[in-house]
Amino acid sequence: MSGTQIQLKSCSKTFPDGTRALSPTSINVSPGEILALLGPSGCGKTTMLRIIAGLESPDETGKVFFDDSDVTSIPIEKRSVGMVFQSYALFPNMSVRENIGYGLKIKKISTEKIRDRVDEVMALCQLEGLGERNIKALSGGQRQRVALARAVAPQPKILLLDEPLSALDAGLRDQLRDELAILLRSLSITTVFVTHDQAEAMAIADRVAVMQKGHVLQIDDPRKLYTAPDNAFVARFVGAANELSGRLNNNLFSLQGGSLQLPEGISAVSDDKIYVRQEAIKLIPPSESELKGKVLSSTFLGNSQKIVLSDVCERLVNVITDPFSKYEIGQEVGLLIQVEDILVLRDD
Amino acid sequence: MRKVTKFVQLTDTHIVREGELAYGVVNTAEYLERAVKVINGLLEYIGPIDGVVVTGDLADFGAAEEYQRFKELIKPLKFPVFVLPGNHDNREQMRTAFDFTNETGPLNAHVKFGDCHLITLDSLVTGSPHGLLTDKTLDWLKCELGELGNEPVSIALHHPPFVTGIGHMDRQRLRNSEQFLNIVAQHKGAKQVICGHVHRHITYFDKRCPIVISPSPAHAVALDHRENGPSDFTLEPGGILLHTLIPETRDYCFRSEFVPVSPFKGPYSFGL
Repeated sequence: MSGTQIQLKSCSKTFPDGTRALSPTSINVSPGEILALLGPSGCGKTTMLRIIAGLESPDETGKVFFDDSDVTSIPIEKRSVGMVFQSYALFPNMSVRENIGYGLKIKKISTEKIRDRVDEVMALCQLEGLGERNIKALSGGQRQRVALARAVAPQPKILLLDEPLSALDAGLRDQLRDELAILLRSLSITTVFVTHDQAEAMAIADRVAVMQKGHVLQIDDPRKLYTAPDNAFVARFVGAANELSGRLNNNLFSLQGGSLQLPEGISAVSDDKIYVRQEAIKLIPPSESELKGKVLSSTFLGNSQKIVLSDVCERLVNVITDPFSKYEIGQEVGLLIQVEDILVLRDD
Repeated sequence: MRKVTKFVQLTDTHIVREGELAYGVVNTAEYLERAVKVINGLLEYIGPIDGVVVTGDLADFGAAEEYQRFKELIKPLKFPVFVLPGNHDNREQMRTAFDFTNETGPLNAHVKFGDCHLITLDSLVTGSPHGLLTDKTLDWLKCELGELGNEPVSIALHHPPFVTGIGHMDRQRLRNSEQFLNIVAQHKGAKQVICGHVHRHITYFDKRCPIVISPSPAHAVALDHRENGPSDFTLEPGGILLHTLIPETRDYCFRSEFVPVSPFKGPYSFGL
């Protein structure tokens, strides 16, 4: 992979009033990697992005490296970072081409070189043929690609995006998520982006850092985060998970609706809770299962349906299943849960 | 080739609905009409103008009809007009009425008049008269300025980042002035900050950057430096500012001049 490596070494941020926005954090972003900083507002993700950008200095002990050079005290304009803001503002009185070439023009690069680079970036960002258009004549998605093209035109070492899609309405956001994933990958620039939307993080990033209250709780590839979350917060934040409470006795987990045989070794069930993803529960005839529940409701979702079960444990249990099977309200069903789908988590 | 750039600052026009008067007294539309005529009438004497920036409080209540009326009134201006919101404005109504490139968030923009960069900032705090630039706006400003090197820039916002001495207005000035001016100070090229809000022509020489407030073409906030002076306005002569960016040997300089829009006598010849 080409690109620049980012290293944060023990970076924390404490504001003058004593609030700690970021606890000491060390992470490495590999050359060409796309890292998402994911978490609710106030989790420290924006502070971390600002430290990487050079918009914020870490507390005294923290260091930021781009490859081997210490950039901790270098201001943003000298760090060679391209930054795309959520509320990107383009030049309204300039064409797409002029917008993209702007940063290069200021750097006094020759007209021919600017033209070549703008052509190249427009092709990468699928803006061919739109060069002479006025910004006002573009769709939201196209404008967003122009903002990205403008940021990458000067060939930054690092690309930083602040909530890249949240300015767009929901329908467009889903469509652009996949487009942006493909686009960022083709740029092969080391990229860090901030989002509060787990679907966005999972779809776009190579690795996701899940953050809460100034800490990175887990940093892993999306599949691993989903299937093997480290704790309950991560499990809930990266996808819906059922919390099943019961009592563990030897390897038998007893719940209101019956019992589940857990394998040897799963002994550290904290607070007598286990977690299971909604799609990991299969519904089978009650006679075939030791664990049963009652159908409380079923909701047709098009490509799936959501069944809510009562009487399995204290909480209601959500199951995502095929859209075709019919379930009656009040019907008794059996639950089939594969042992490998049971998440045993530390509490948050 | 570096060249002279001229642009007009118009501010605090406080347009109300047809048939209404601002504060029951001021026919603000008539003043704006007059300002537009003055600007167009100046062209013969001062040469071409590159554009107009309106530094907030375009409308009195932020209603859609008020923005439509504003747009009708400025139609005779045949150059680009860029706007930013003041405390009387409504952000979303303005986003709809004017061409902003961002669909959400603050109405910040970066445009160019001739050689001059103009960065317009949104300091509106919905529901409050005071101003504040959000952290995201300040970050964005820092990035935009960082990219400009030593090119000249005029930074426009509604709320002045300094104390004018008029108590009731100072209580609703820009809250994070220090943060803002410290960022502006980092810019290496020629720079100025231009604002509105106070309806008076006031200049301020902070060592980080010169700042100028434009008067409104309509009503003025009464000059009163007493601590608890009442919040009064007068109909003393209002106006607009004409900003000129001049290329000097090494760098650019900004010149800003007051142009009254109220009727006056003259010109008379000095020659006998």
